[in-house]
Amino acid sequence: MLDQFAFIGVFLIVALIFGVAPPALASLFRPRKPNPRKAETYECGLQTPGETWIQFKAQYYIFALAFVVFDVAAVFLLPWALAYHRLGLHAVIEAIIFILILLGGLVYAWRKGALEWM
Amino acid sequence: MEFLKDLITNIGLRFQGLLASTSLPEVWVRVITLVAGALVLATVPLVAAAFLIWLERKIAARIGDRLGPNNSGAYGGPWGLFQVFADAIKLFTKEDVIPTTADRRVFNIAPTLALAIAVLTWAVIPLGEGLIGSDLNVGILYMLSLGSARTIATLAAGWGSNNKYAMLEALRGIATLVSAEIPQILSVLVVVMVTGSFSMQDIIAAQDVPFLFTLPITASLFFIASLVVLGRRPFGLVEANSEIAAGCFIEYSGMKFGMFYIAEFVNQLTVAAIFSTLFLGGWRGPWVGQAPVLSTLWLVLKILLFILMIQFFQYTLPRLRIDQNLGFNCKFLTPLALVNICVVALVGKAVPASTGPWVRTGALLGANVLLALVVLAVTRRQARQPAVRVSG
Repeated sequence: MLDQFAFIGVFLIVALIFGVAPPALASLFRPRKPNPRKAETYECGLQTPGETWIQFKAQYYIFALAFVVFDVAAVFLLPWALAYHRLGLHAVIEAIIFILILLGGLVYAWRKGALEWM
Repeated sequence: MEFLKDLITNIGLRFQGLLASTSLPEVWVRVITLVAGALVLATVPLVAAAFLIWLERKIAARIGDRLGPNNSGAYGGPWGLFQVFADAIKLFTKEDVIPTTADRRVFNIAPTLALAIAVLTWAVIPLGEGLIGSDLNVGILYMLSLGSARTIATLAAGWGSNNKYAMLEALRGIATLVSAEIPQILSVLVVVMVTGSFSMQDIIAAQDVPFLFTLPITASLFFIASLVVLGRRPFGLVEANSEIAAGCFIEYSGMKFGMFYIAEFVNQLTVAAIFSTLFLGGWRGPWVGQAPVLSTLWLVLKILLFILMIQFFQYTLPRLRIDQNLGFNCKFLTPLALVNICVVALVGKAVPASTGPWVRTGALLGANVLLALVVLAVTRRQARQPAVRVSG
């Protein structure tokens, strides 16, 4: 198995080289004619009014929170899924109760309007 | 003839034999083999993506009653096949404009990340019988984690550009990606449950009957979630040309834009390959036992089937709004995925493996059809209720 991970390591380096090489190669060929108007932020010829790096709505945070809850739940469920064949009916029913509690949480978030995009 | 039957493995063996016959120390032979394998494997998706760009342009044109690329000068090749290479040369020789207000480091790292992450997944995709970069025992987890890492490239591009279109797109794109990932992970979980392994090759080995037929609801959940993740219509929010220009890519020019573009197509191929592996039986098909080289051909055909399907969707369907898209992910796909896990878990225990594969397949299929009918009934009832005005 260590062998397989060695390949992943080499592949990671190769993939990063593939990601770095094109712009590096292009810098040998491309022209360089900078000009202040060209380097402005794109906005149909006007100046962009106001800040871009703003504080986004709080709704977004709740959305992210709901995502984290389900992702962590999936992390709990994956080992259970792997061992499913060796588990008795008891363990399966326990996992189903866990999923039902999750569904309850989802319905709560839904009723509270946390899943609306506005 | 014997050589042709298992062409790719034999070329690899020939190469290894050649290395062994030189007087290099054994460590170097191993390192060279690994690096050569990695280089070849990383090139495969990139070349395939170049072909896919041509295919997509051709299909888009035909659906729109146009011809598409058919002539790119004297070296255009048949049906404009070499158009992609002309485009690549053009992108290489374009000036690289970076806005003065941009966060240069983040701005520059985004395309590299996007392409590297897109290529990395190919290490665990089985390309044929015994033809896999690295048959990890956690292959599925590796694939899922790289799928989530894609959001980082989107965020880096959107934030680094310091452009309002790009920023909006990054925030919207991440919300949709993240909300579609949950049903995707939960549907992969069902496959893991049925096979009892995280290894891609084991999952293929378990598919005497492709999981598309035993677990149709899981397969459709994964398919729809993949459409969202890829940003294809009816969920095409990543580009959304009509609202936020080109989204994250608006400030990128030259090769950096080209890298995002290629990465997008590599991602399409990756998802197609993963879908084929998880639900269509991967490289399995008739006559693979006699000639293992055919296994790669079957995989390519299955990938093409998936790609053609998403391209028909892309060019014939209108796009959903962002709130509709998110609502669909959170209020339909996610609960359905959770219920689906419960149903498959219960049926799997009620009909043990000792009853034989056909009884099990029948039971799972029956349960899936029943679930589909219930879902249809519930959504139909929902649709009949008068619309409620949402106050903001």
